[in-house]
Amino acid sequence: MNIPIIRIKNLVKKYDDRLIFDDVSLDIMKGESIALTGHNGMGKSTLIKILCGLTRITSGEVIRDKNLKFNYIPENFSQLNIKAGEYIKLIGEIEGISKDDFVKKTNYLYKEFNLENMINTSMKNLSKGTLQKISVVQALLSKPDILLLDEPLSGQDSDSQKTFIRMVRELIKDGVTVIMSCHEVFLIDQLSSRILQVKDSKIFEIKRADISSEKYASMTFYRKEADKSFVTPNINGIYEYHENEDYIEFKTKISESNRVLTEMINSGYTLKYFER
Amino acid sequence: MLISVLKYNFKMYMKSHKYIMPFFIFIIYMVMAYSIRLLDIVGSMVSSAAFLFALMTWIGFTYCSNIELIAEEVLILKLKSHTRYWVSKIIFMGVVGVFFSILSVGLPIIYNLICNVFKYPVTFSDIVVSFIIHMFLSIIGALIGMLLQPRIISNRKMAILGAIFIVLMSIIKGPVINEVPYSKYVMWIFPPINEVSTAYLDLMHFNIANLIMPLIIMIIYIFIESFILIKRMKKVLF
Repeated sequence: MNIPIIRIKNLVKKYDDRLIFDDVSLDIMKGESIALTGHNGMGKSTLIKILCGLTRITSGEVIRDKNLKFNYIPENFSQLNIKAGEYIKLIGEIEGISKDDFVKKTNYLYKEFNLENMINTSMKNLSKGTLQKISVVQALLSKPDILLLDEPLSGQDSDSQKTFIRMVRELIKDGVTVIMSCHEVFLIDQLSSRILQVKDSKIFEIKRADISSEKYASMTFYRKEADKSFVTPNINGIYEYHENEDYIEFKTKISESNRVLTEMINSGYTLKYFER
Repeated sequence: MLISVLKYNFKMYMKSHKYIMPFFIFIIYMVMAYSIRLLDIVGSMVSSAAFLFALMTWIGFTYCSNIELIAEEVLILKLKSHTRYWVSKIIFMGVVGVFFSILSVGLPIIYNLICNVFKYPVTFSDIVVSFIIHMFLSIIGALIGMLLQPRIISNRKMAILGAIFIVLMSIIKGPVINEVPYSKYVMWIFPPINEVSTAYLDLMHFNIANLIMPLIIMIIYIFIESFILIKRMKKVLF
């Protein structure tokens, strides 16, 4: 537990003239499960990409073993023009998973995430939640050294959220290091052993109590009449999102509830229920 | 793993439909180029290879433009290496080049068996050398296109103008060097189409001996292009 699997030294990261990280140093230990919190645009996703070498840094050093295996669940997966099952099969082949193992593993994952009827659908026609589940499946096909999760639950139904949490817990038990960017307090509570807050170009270690006091509002909206195909609203700051045939429900921070409510109504949704 | 990645690249490319326009233009070229009889095989094949070079520049450019960024990031992590990722892309472009080379050489040869398109009987070395020239120039073209991709040259108009300039200069570099001998110190930078055509100037048939020098130059050119591309992309990242 005390071996740093990734070491960041004096990291500086700029996007054009905007400073994202300013002289940040951080040790990530093997087997840790870290939650990255902070407001949108503070650099949580950027930090995840820096850790696995997907984005360049302005200065500083990121020390990690060359052969580390990263599995990554991005926040918004690409809507590829390919059937979901076909994509997973290609990824399985690239991972070098044997045919038998692949069938066993995918049957299990498709069943657990209720994807059996979706694998023959083109990814460009999947809802945000289903696409996110496909992204989860590609990341859970094999055991990584480090699992990177960027808002992994966005758009997923509650059953899939529970399944996801259970599977990630099993990986943590198996010694996989988990680094997760998320806002959901319940997810942090259940998965993370260490909480880091990204704020003002720095990374701070925070206590669990500091985030759990956040108050949330629940909102329920009727589906849009004209839009029976239904696409998850593309609005920042919504958590614990659920949908069914007639309505959608989610939580939002009290501090953001006015903005979210306005954006939803402006997007054509009708409010059914609101509770603070 | 390489086969699996090539399969992945192939599926994604086919589903992107980016090949349709270049393929259509290729068919038009073939119809136009071989509708005339009786043709000199050396001139026809060198022109066809130069055309394929230009076509593959276009294909290489569009292949690297408008990529599905997130899916590609996931792929890089699965491959555990940016170098492996870009080598797989170069090899895939090589496969596309081989496909077009087979068509570029094979179709006229078959057509010649039916309609006698060429002035002189086609020899074995004509077929082999034509195929090699097509294949290597197509890879060079694809790499030029990949080097002009938006992540290296963000201004699309500049990239397209750059591609047109490079293709034109590659084709006219021989006459330019003849007119202005000192330009050879700069012109070597452009792809070696001229070296290929000069090697077979005034010949009725291709021969393997004359191919050696242009082939060495083309191989070195491919290595340099690949090195620059990988080095640059590892710096730019995503």
